[in-house]
Amino acid sequence: MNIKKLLIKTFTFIGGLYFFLEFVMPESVFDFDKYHESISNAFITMSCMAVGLGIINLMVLHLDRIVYKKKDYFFSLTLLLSLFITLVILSLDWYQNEKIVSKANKFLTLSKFSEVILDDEKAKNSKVLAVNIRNQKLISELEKDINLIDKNSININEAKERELKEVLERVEKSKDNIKKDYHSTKYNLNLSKRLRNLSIVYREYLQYKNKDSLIKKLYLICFDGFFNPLVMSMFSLLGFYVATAAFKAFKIKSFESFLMMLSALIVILGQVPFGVKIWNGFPSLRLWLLSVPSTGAFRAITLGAFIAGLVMALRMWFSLEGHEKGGKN
Amino acid sequence: MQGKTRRFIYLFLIISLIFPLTTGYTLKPAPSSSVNMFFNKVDSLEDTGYAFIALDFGPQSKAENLYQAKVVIEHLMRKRIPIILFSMYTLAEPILESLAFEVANNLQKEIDGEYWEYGKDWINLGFRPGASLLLQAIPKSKNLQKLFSKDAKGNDLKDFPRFDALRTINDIIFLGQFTSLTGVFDTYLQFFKTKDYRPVFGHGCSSITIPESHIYLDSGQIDGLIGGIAGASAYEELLNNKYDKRNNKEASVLNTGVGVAQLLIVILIILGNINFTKLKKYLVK
Amino acid sequence: MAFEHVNIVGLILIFLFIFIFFYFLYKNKRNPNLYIRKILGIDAISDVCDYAGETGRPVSFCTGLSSVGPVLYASLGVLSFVAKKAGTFKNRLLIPQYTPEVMAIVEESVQEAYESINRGSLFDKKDIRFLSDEQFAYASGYIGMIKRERACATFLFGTFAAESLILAEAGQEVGAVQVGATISPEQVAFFIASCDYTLIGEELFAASSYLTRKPLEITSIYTQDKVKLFIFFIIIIGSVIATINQIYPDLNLHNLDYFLTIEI
Repeated sequence: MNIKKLLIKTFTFIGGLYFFLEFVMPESVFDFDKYHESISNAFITMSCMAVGLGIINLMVLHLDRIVYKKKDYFFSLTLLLSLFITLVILSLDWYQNEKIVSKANKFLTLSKFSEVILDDEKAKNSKVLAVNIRNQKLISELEKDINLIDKNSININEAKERELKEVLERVEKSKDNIKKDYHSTKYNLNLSKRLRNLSIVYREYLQYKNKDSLIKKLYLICFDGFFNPLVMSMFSLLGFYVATAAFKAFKIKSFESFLMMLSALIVILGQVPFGVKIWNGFPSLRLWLLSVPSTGAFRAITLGAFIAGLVMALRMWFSLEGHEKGGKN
Repeated sequence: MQGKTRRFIYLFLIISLIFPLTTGYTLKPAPSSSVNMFFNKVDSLEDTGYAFIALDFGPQSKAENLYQAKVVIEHLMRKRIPIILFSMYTLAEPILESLAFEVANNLQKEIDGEYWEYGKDWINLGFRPGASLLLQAIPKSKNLQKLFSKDAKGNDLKDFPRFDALRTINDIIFLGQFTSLTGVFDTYLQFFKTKDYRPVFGHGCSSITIPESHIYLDSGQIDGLIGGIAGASAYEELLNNKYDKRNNKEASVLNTGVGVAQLLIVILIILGNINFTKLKKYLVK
Repeated sequence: MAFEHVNIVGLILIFLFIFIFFYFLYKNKRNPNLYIRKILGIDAISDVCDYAGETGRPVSFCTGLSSVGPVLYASLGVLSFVAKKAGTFKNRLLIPQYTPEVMAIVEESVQEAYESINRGSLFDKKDIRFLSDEQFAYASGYIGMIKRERACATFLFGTFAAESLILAEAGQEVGAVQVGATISPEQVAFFIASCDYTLIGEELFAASSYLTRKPLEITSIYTQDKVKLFIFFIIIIGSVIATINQIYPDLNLHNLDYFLTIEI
């Protein structure tokens, strides 16, 4: 037997068995949760890699058209250009966001450091440096980071910026309290809480300022300007297609199609505001149609489809299908 | 179908949709028992836990799901039940960021002296990858704060005292799931519960999936269903009846337009059948 | 011991279904000539392929939003059949793709189909094109492809959501003969309105078996039918018990859902 096929069958069976056992086995017998997160992350990573496959396929097809100037090559050029421009803008936006988060997280790190100093002092941990040295280091780093904030650009007329200024003033007060006596940890908890708050407020302030940046504006043009309206327009095409389908296809050719028309009419009139004005029994009739005949039919179709899916899944699990890679049937 | 006929149909459809939007003409929505059930369930909730609102929709079904989510979030905010916003769909992120702020602002304008704040009345967990794998982890988790750890902006959940008590699924008293995507709703149905506990489950769906979602309402697996923009409009009407100062009719405006368009479709069906009958008679002759 | 997500009765039923499947697989290997009732939509697949052969225009096979799973594998069976027919008549076979993982599987499947009829040289990887993994971008790419290539026959087999009507109408506009199949009941309604032939629900899974008549595939149909029959009787019994409990509450019979709560 083909080794490649054998390997695929083995891994398929083991994979299926793992997920089946993970689904039914109680924690007391075997704790899958320890491994499940890593396995789930592996699947998410594989899905992300698959996106690369798609992009390669797009590029192969469309570059071929562009290079040899085949028919409609201009559309291929437009597609690839849009893809790359969007990628670049999204990457720059992501990078900008990461810069903002790392700037704000500096204060979070200092907040944690302040807490650790306090905890070590309470636990009388002798393996660490003296409190005063650590507090001095904390304050010097804090001053460096605070100096990076451009206080002159803070406009106190804006609510977000006013909030930042207030939080900075509180942090300065706590800092000054610690500076009075580096040996004491009395104000470390207070400083820690205020630094955590500063981290949140500073991040929001930077994101607020970032709104007016070129990258953010381009990102919004891409998303709110192009993508959203295009998607919504495509979805709204459905309305027009339903109207043409209604005119073209809903013909009463038999008793069954008459019944179908009647139920469609009842459901529409039971749902629209006008229906109640014509007869106030339409909503109840609509509810009966949804609850009794429709539910029965949907359940039957769904049951049949999922049983067929179960049998197909068995065929896939035991690799009885001929469609796996690695050789002929 | 002839191109000209198609264009006339599209023209009539556009006119029927635009008319209520431009004139502001609204009609009272048709009553819906599934929406009444949803409303009553939310109304009976007390501030003993959290509401987990999953906005699994994007720009394509925003026209229906957004208004559904808006009215439910507003109802929960009025009852001061803390809300956790979440999504398994990437394109829902902008909606997650802005929707609750919009609702809070509207409420603050309506009710003097009352405020709704991020971190106290709601938090936004943002988009979380992992879909069904994450949903399976939620009921098993003994510390949901640790499982989610940070909100969408990167803030530690420990920094929000109101959400400090969030430990297990038993602390979630209400699940509101709004989607038009296939397969997502089934996942919540299957996994967002334990053997002994299931939160009150309300579902908001697009009009296309109403019959499919209705089977779960019928079997008692969900406690309420808001179907399409008509459902959102009916819920809005119930809120207007309960809260005197409230006079927002966004969903009803859209619902009226959709109602006119549906009436047009009924007329087209009738015209199509008259045409068909005449053609048959002509051919028989 | 309390199992997760299922109880002992549920587990027993699952193992029973697996046993039924292997029993019929063993039995049917000896007797491949088994009866399947006529399904018009599946008969039409062959006729549509023959019609495409006469016109010489491209054929399109759309797997919709299917991810790797039972629905995709069911559609692959039909795709292999259509690929062989297209290869025989030398029609181009266009297969727009939504998911890259599925694209890789479809490529292998189609290539195997062409090679099995000694037309490997006709296989063109570029006809299996990734359009987008965004639903409506995929739909708009499909519309453009169908209108430019002027496909004469389209097969819509797989998982579809709101874009189903858009895809079907695109084929209608170019005058293509369309066969649609999906398990989602609400999308089936759209296909019925706009496709020439529609397969409802599990007929999608039966299509491959019907066309190929392989023992494995026929076994699947038999197993499905036996399991459905079993469930049908369970439903009848459950309804009777529930009705008796309503009329004679003193009898205090257990409803069938009691068995889903038993734990060992």
